[in-house]
Amino acid sequence: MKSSGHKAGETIVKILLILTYTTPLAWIILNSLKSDSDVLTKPNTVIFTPSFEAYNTVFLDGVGAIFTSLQVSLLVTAAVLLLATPTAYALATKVSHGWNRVVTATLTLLLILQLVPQPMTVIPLYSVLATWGLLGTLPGLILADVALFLPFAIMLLRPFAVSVPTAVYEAAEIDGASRWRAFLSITLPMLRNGMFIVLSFVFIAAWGEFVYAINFLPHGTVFPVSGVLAQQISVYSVGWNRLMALAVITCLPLLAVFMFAQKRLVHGLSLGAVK
Amino acid sequence: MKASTKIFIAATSCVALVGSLSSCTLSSNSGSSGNKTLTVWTYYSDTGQKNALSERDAVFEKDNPGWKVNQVQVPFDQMDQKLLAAAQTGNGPDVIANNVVVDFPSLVGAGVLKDISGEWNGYADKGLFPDSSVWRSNGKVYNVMSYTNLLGLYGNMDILAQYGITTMPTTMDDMEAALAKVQAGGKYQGLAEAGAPQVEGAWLFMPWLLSAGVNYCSLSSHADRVTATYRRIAAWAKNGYIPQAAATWDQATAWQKFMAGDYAFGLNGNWNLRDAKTNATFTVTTAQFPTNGGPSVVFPGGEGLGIFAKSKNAEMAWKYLQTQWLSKDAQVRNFQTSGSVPFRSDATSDATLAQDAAALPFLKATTNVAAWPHNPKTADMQISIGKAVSATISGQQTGEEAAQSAMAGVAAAQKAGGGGCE
Amino acid sequence: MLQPRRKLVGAAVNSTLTLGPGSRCSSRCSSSSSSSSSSSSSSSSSSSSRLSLVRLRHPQNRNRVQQAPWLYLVATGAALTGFALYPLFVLFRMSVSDVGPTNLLSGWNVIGTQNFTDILATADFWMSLNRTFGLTAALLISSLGIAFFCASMLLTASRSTNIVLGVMVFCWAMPPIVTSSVWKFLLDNDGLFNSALKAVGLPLVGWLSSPNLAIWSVAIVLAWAGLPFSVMVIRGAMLSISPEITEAAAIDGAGFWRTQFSIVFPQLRPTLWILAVLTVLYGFKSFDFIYVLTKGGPGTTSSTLPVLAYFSAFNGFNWSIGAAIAVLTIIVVAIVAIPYMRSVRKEVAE
Repeated sequence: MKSSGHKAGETIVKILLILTYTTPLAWIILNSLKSDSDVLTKPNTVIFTPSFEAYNTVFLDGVGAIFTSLQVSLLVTAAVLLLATPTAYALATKVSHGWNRVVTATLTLLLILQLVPQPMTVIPLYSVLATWGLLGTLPGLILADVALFLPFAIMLLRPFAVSVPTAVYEAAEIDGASRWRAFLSITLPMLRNGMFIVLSFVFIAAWGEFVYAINFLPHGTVFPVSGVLAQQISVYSVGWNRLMALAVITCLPLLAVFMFAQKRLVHGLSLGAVK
Repeated sequence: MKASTKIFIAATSCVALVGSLSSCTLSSNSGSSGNKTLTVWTYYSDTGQKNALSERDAVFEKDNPGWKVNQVQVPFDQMDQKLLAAAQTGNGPDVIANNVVVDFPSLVGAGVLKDISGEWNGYADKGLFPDSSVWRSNGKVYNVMSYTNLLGLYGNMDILAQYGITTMPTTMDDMEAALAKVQAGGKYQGLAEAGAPQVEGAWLFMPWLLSAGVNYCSLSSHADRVTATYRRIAAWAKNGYIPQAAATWDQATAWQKFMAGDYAFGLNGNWNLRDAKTNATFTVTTAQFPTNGGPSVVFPGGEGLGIFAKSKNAEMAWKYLQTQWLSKDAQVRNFQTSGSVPFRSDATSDATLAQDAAALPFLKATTNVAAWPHNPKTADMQISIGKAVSATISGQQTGEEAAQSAMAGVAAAQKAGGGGCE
Repeated sequence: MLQPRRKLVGAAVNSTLTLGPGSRCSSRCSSSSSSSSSSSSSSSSSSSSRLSLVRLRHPQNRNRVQQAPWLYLVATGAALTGFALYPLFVLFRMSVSDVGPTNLLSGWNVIGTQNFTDILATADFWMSLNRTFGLTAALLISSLGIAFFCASMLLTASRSTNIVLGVMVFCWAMPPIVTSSVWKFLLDNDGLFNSALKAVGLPLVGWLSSPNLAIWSVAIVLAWAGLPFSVMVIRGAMLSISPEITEAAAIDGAGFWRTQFSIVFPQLRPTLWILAVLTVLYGFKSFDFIYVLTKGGPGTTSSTLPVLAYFSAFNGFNWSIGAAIAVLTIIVVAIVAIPYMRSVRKEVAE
C-alpha cells in the first residue's frame, strides 16, 4: 500500500515537524543561558559564553512558584475529575426522552460556558467570591479554576462514558448491583483512559492559568508559575533571559508529568476522542 | 482495586486533605504571625527597582520593630483592576504605587486612594517638592510622587561618530539630518522608538506634539501642527529611519533594541540610565527630547504613591512612604539603583546627581514639563494617540489619516469623560 | 461514528484486553489485538456492536428499570451555577449597564442596549469581527486540513513518530505566555526568521509589523500552538478505524491518499466536526498570544474581538463596553455552533 515515495514523504514531514517544534524549544534553552547583554545583542546566535546569571536570579522565585502551582494544579485537577466523572456518566446514560432533553440542554450550556472570554469573567467572579467570603483564599481560586475547566473536561469525558456498552450495565443490574455500585465497578474502570486524559488536560491548563491566580490568591502568596512568568514583562523592563530561565525551571515538573502521561495522552485519544 | 477507582479515590482524598490543609500550606511572603504586616503593591520588575525596594524595606523594618513589609509585585496589566476591585471588597494593600498618569482619575473616583491632604500638609519637607509631584482632585491630595520618569534622547556615539556627528541633535530637523546620514550609510538602523498601539505609543509620541505647542487639551485646535507632526513620523518610517517593527514595540522593547547596539538613537526614559551605564557595549550620550518648533517639553511620568483608602495601617503606611520614597536618602538611592529622577530639590542638587553627566538632560527636563489632562477618560485619549502612531509607523495610515483619527479619538474620549481637560 | 464504538465494545467485553486498544501497544498493533480478540471470543466485536445497536432501537428496554441519574449532576450543577453561570449572568447584566471604574462591583445603572448600539456603530468592531473570522478560517485550515495531512503521515508506529508527537505535545502543553514570547522573538524584525532570510539574500519581512501581514503571522503562531492537539485527535480517530476497511481498499488498488480521502475521511466526520467547533472557539477566544505578539497592532490590524474587549475593559476602564463585546462574541459563536448543537441533539436522541 505504501510506496517508498510515501515513506520518504513521511520522513520529510517528520523532519519538518521536528524542526518547527524544536526550534522554539531550543531558542528558550539557549537564551536562558545568555547574559543580560547577550540576549539582546545576539538573540539568534548559538555561539556564546553560557552564563547562569538568569538562573541565579530566578531560581528561588521559580521554586516557590512551582510549589504554589503544584498545589493549585493538583487540587484543581482532583476537583475537576471528581465532578466531571459522575457528570459525564449521567450525561451518557439514556433513560427517557425527558432525560435526553436534559442532556441536550446541559451539553449546549456547557458549550456556551466555554465561549465566555476568561478575562471578562474576572470582574463578575470578584463579586461572587466576595459575597461568599472566598476572595483572596485558596478555595476561592480553586472554585474559579474548577468552573473554568469543568465544562471542557465533561465534554472530553462524556464520549468515553457513551462508549461503555449498555449490555454491561444490564448485566450488573441483573446481578442486583445498585447504580452507584455499577458506576464504581463498571463505569470508572472503563473511563480510565478518559479520566487520564482529562487529568492531563486540566493539569496542563491549570499550570498555565494566571489571570485568576493573580486576582484571587491571597495577598503575599507566592504567585504560581505563570504569574511569575507574567511578572517578568513590565513597563520598565522585560527580562527575556530571566523569562526563559523561569520557563525552563517551571517546565521541568510539566516535563515529568508529561513523560508519565505522554503515551496515554497520545494514544488515549485514539479511543473515541472528543466526540 | 482497579486503577481508575484508585485515581478516583486518590482524587477525593487529595481534595479533602490538601483542601483542609490549604490555609496553612500556601507558601507566603509575609512573616510570622507575631509581626504586623504592611502590604505594598507595585508593578516593578526591574532588578534595580526591586533591589532599591528591599533595601529600604530593611531600613523600615529596623526602624519599626514588630512590622514586616509584604511586597506584592502585581503584573502591570492586572494592577488597576485589582485596585478597583479592592476598593469595593476592602481586601487591598496598605501602600500603593500606581500608574498615576493613566489611572489617577479612575482610582480617585473609585475610592481606591485615601485623601492624604492632612498627612501631606503636615509633612515638613513638602516645600522641597514641585507642584507637579502632588496629584490633587477637587483640591485634595491623593497621590504624591517621589521621583519622576521622563523621556529623553539616547545616542550611540560609536555609530554617530562614524558619520561625523559628535553632538546630539537638539531639534527634530537636526535629528532628521542625522538619521538621513545614518540611513545613507546603510550599516546601522536609525531610531529605536516605541509605537505600540496603546498608552505607551502615546507616551513616546506626545513629546513630539508637546514641543510643537500642542497638548491633549489643545489637539483639535491645532490640526495643522498635529498633521505636520504625524506626517513627520510617517516620513521617518517611510524612509526607514524608524523600523516598521517599531509599530508594535513597547518602551522596554525599544530600549532593548537600542542597547543591542544597532541603533544610532533611542527615545527612552531615565529609568534606563543605570542599565546604559553598566551594560552598554558602546558610548552612550543623552540629551533632552528634541524640540519640534518650540522648547523641549515632556510629560512627567512615574508612579504615584498613595495609601489604600480602606487601609487599617494608614499611619504606618504614611511613615513607610517617607522611608521608602519621600526622604532625601531614599530618592538619591533610588536614582543610583534605577536612574529615577528625584523630585526633591535637595536630592536633585545632591552631588551624586549633579556630577552625573548622563542624568543632567533629564534633570533639566524636569524644569519644563507639560500638564496631564484632567479627564476620567484620559486613558482613552492616550490610547487614541497611540493607535494612530502605530498605524502611521506601520504604514496602515498616512500621516494625515492618523492625525485625523487621533484628533477625533481624543475629542470623543474627552467628550465621553464630561468634556473637562485642563 | 460507529467504528470507534464497535472496537471499544470489543475491548470491553473481552476481559483479556484490560488496557484497551492502543494504550499498551502503540497504534497499528491495536488492530491486530482487536482482530485476535474477535476470533478468540466468538467474534465479540461485531456481535456486541450488533447487540448495542439492537438496544439503541429499543429504548423502552431501559426505561423500565432506570431512574434519571439526577444525583450525579448535583455537585457539578452547584459548582457551575455558582461560579460559571452566575458570572455569565453578571456579564450579561454588565453589558446592559453603565460600569466604569467607580462602580466596578456594584451600584450598576441599567442603561439598556446603549452599549450595544455604541459598539455596533464603530468601524473597529466590524473590522475586528472580520479579522476574527479570517483568523478562525485560517485556524480551521490548519486544525482540519494540515492536521489531517500530518496525522496521515504520522500513522505508522515507530520511534520517530513517538518522538515527533512527544515534542509537539510538549510544546502544546507549555504555558502560552512562554511560547508566545518566544515567537515574538523569532518573528521580530531581526529575529531568527529574518536572519535566515538575510543569510540567503532575501528581503526581510515585517512579520508582526506589516499591517497586511501581522494578523496572518498571529494566525501561524496560533496554528502552531493548536496543531499538536488536532493531530493527536485526528490520528487517534484514524487509528480506531477498523483496518479491514482500509485494507480492503488497498486490495482494490486504491493508493494511500485515495484511501485516506475516500475511505478514512468520511469515517472521521464526527471527530472533525467536533474539532471544527473547538477550533472556532479557539479562534474566537484567543487572546494571550495576540496580546504578547502585537498588542492588537500595528494600528488595529491584528485586533480581534477578544483583544478589543480586553483593551476596552482593562485599558480604557470601560467594562460595560468590554462586556457588551464579549456578549456579542458569544452570540456570534453560538450562531456558528448551531449545527453542532443540532448534531448533539440528534446523537442524544438516537
